[in-house]
Amino acid sequence: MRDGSRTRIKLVGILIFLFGLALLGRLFYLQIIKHDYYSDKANAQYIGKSPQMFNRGDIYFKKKDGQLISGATIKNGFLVALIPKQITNPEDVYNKISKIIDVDRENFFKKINKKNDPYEEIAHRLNEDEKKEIEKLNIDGLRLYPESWRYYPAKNLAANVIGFVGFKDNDLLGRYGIEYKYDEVLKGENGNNNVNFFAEILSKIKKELKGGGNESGSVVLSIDPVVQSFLENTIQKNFDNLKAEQAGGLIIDPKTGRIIAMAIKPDFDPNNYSKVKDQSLFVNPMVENIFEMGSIMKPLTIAAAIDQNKITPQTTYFDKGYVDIDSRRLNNFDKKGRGKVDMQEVLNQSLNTGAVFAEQQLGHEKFREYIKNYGFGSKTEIDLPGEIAGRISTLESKRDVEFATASFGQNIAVTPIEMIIALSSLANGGFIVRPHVVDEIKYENGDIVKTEPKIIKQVLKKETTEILSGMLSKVYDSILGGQFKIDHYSVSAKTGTAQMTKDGKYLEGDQNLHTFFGYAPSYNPKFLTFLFLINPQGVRFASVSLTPPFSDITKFLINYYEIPPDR
Amino acid sequence: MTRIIEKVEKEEARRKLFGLLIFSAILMISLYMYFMSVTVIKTVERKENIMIIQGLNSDNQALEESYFSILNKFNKDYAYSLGFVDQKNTDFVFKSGSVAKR
Repeated sequence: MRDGSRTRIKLVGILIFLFGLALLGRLFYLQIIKHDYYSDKANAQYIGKSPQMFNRGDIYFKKKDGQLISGATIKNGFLVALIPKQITNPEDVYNKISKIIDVDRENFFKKINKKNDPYEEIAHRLNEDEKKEIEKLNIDGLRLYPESWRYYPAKNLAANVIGFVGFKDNDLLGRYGIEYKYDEVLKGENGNNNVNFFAEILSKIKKELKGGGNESGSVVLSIDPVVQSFLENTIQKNFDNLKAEQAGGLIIDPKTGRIIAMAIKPDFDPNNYSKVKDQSLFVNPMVENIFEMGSIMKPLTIAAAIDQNKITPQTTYFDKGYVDIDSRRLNNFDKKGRGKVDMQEVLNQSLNTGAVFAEQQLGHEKFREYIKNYGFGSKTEIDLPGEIAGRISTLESKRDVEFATASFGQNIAVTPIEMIIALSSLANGGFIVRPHVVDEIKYENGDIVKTEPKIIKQVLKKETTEILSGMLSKVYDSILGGQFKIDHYSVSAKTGTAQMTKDGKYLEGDQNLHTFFGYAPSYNPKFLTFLFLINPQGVRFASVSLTPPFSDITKFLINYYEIPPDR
Repeated sequence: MTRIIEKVEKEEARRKLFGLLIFSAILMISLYMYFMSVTVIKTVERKENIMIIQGLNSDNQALEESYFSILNKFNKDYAYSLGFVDQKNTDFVFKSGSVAKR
């Protein structure tokens, strides 16, 4: 009896355990393994099925007060589909719906003639009002399904930074910019939303079994839409006036590498990327193209020589207007000599011979070392796709002329972002920082991963940068007779005009790259602005083409960030 | 364990245990039904909430669109066209250290 009871109790216990296990297994099967299947079935019962429903994290701009504004989001609407064999009077149907939405007539009749086809889509992206109007028509064989798509409310604004989502084979993926770089984060595990507590727990078990899974999230950019808009409008105006091939601008906090605005013209509307004929517009030249930057290299050469105590701002040399090196004659931009001049004049008048002199005082080995320490020839590790490294292999040569030309920005080609980071070292006390356009990633589970400023190395002494900031402040105050000098604010800046190259040869005529960089206030800068123009027409020097827009941008930034005067 | 088995051997205890098992079975079935219906209700509620959120998102998107168009419109040229002029002779007051005095 005792043994019999014990067996029965055990048996009942096992049965209850198995029953519980079966329930748990069934729940796991229904809610996790068959989640997509039943979710689709439920959706079909509730609002109809669309193959074009997709979910994706948002991309936000961030204003100075922390307010987030959508740069890329999901828009919901409806698509119109036909069941061709159920349409008895195609002409009548076309006339009715074309009064409400745009439908291509040829395409409509081509599709409606596919009588054996059970489903043909004829219009997309209808809003709620259009959907209601179509529904009122009550046409047999006409169906409305919900659909969602990637939407960029700011249109062209920061298009080269944000990029866009497009089809690759049959999958919708990020193709350029942040959409591409952060595709894994933004897409996450599509549509895997759990409906209750048990599903949540079981889903987490599944993720653990599968190895974690991808948590989806939204990306918050460091780009401020107000500054971005101002920068874009300013360079667009300049681009149009000077009929340039391309214009670009970037504003960065030189101390943290936080990019506040980045603009390229011409650009594109990511909502209509398929209509863009020239696909080179999708490329971001700030990180994906290299240029010989010209005279904005001179402050870096002089800074290196000062840093090594080889020269001071008062060091003089005799400027003949040219130097002969390795049987090549290197001229000043105007081929004129100034006689005895100091290093301040070298920057003020952008004398090539002075930059060559500074490099010669420094020595080739040290010059190459500084060039590499500035980050030239290496990627900056910016959080944008497609970054390439600059080409500085000419400095491996033993020919003196290679070093001489590099000293004033020729014969070495770097990306704008490499140059911006190197120039930032003049503004931030001598540090090379990692640039970034993403401030933080907000995951759906509530986790927030912030981008912390990263200092790569110190390349210049603080005292050296203070000397250079003072020298560059005098340069800005003297540009074009001092007409752009800003009262009460010190601004450090330098222009550059370089001949463009193609296939390793310099192009003749007006084929120039104009560059400009500047920061303010000089001794405690809040921002550094970099501008470039490719082949502007009717203007020879960057001092004429880029000083006015730089001045406008600087005044705007001083007001926008409420920067107190420093002089 | 031995003591429990001894109690079970008694008739009354056996009846109680049987009742407990029946009660457990009913409780589990009830809980299962309860959670299943909660799941269904939550699913419907979630769908309705999604529709509401989508509506709010649409409103938000419309606001953001108008924000960006206003952002493009408000520039210096627009200000000049409204009659605004650049401020001249800006003066700043500066004092080193704390301005506050007891």
